[in-house]
Amino acid sequence: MTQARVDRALTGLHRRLSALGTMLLVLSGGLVVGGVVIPADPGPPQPAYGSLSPSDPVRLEVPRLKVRAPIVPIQVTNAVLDPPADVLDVGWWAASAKPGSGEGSTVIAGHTVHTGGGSLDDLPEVKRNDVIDVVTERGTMRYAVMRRKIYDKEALAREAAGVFGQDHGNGRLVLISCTDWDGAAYESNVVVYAAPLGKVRGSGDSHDGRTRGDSVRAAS
Amino acid sequence: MSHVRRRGLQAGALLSTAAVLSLTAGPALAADTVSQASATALRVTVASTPTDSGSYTATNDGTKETTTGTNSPAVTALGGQSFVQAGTLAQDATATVRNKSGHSAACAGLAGDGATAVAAGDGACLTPGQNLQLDAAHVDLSNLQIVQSDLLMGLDQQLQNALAPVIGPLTDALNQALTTALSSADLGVFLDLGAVQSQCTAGPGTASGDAQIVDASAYAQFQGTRIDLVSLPVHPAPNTKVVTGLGDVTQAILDALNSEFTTAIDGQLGALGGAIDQAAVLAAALQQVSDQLGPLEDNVLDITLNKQSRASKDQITVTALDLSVLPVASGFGVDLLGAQIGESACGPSGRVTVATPTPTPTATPTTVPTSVPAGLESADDASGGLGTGGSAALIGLLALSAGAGVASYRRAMNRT
Repeated sequence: MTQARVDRALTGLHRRLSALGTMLLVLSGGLVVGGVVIPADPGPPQPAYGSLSPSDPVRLEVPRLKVRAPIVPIQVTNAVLDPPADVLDVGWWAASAKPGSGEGSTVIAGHTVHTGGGSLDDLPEVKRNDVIDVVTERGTMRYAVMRRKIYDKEALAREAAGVFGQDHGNGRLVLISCTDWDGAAYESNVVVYAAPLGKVRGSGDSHDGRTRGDSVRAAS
Repeated sequence: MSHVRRRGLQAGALLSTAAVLSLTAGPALAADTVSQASATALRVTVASTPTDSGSYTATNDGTKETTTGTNSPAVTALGGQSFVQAGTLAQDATATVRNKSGHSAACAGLAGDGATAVAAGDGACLTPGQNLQLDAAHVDLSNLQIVQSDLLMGLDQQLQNALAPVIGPLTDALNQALTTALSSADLGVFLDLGAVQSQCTAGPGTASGDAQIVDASAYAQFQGTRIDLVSLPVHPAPNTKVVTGLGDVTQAILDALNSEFTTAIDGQLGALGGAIDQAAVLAAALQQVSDQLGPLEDNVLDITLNKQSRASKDQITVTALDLSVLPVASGFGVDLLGAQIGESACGPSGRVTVATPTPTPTATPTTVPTSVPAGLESADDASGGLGTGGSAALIGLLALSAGAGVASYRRAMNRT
């Protein structure tokens, strides 16, 4: 008798749970269907980019080229801007504008290595409107490629004020490397000018390009 | 390879820059001469062999005066010449700076014994003492001769016919008389002077000079007799030319021969009585000698007084007396002689350059790079390679290894 009561009670509980489960399943399906048919109000649109307080750059990312290169500050010595000795790094001319600045140009130089392995080996391959990110400790500054220009060495020296001058530029990014291998040396510089789009939203976390082990080109 | 080339280019650029900077800074670092002067008391050239009293020079670089040579030369130092054997030489120069401008002065000259030399800058640098004789030339008359044919050409035909029987002995007698008259003759040309000197001064944009010839003349001496040729002006204008010949000397020689020739002609023609015009023969003989002396009657001495030359408006060279014995005299055994007495040179002058002080920068200008050597032949050319991240990872691995080592050490210690 007692065993029969217990069996009945369990059977009743099972039926109730099954009914509840079926009901929840039906409710979920209804909500899904309702959500598709009657989408919820997305609210006011958010701007794609924000403003970035000028900050020292720590990493360069060029998605088309699959470049993620740490940035180290470099200086001009005797009118020569020498990229970092480590060909995997790129150098930010520390006297140029910081990313996020509305004035001047952020100048970043990186090596092109004839046999491969340089941080900016493929810089001539960037296209107009390609995205370039410069990561800082305060966020990521995004740029859009506007144009690419080849200067022979004499032309670069002649037009240096226009290329690197800090009295103009409106916060643009200037990427520079070498091109025109003549069998013994590079004869020209390739310069990519990119206009600032702004800070990538949600990129305000601290980034440290030196400790994430991403000092290699993703493609290599 | 490319890396080495790039480094080489950079080193070259640095060296070039340093060279350019050093060249640019060179004039500022090396002291420029801002004033200078020199003086030479006497320069003599005999038969193309020069000798002089040496030059005394003074230069000033804006900080100090530097002199070379001697300003108290001795006549005895001039060897190999007989032009001057005594006297007082003076040569002095000074180079100074006043109000950051270079100024210079010099004086040079020659006077007789007893003269007093005065330092440059006080105008004349010699006060005359005794007069001095300078031996300019000695004329050799031994080549004069009577030529028989020439002698007859000076006579009319009738006289020539009359002389024909005795023309040989007559010519010999005339040549003998010539030798007798001139064998002991000493014909010299001299300068007699109290003092001859020049001086000059120079400063920024200007230079001037002058010369004084005190109690000076040229004369010849024949058989102990002085024959004045020309007196020299005391204050000659710049580049005053004086030329003189020995016309008066020629006449003296003919006068000396006149009696000797008369005696010789009378000795040869006296027996012929009035049949021969002896005066005509004498005149013909003298004329022949005169013709031979003809070159000496023209210019023999060429003298320029207060000779001045300017290389620029602030530079001048003054020679008080520039003498040369002209080549025409060389036919009489005269050594060609050139002499410059009292040569002073002043200038050019400059200004003391003051180093431009380095301006205090008000703001550090941004030096725009003109070169970006961002190309390498291979990654091996770079000094790096691990990458900053790789380096950090390596450091992390090292730290991890060190930690593991410490932990192992501590476990080992605990077992004991």
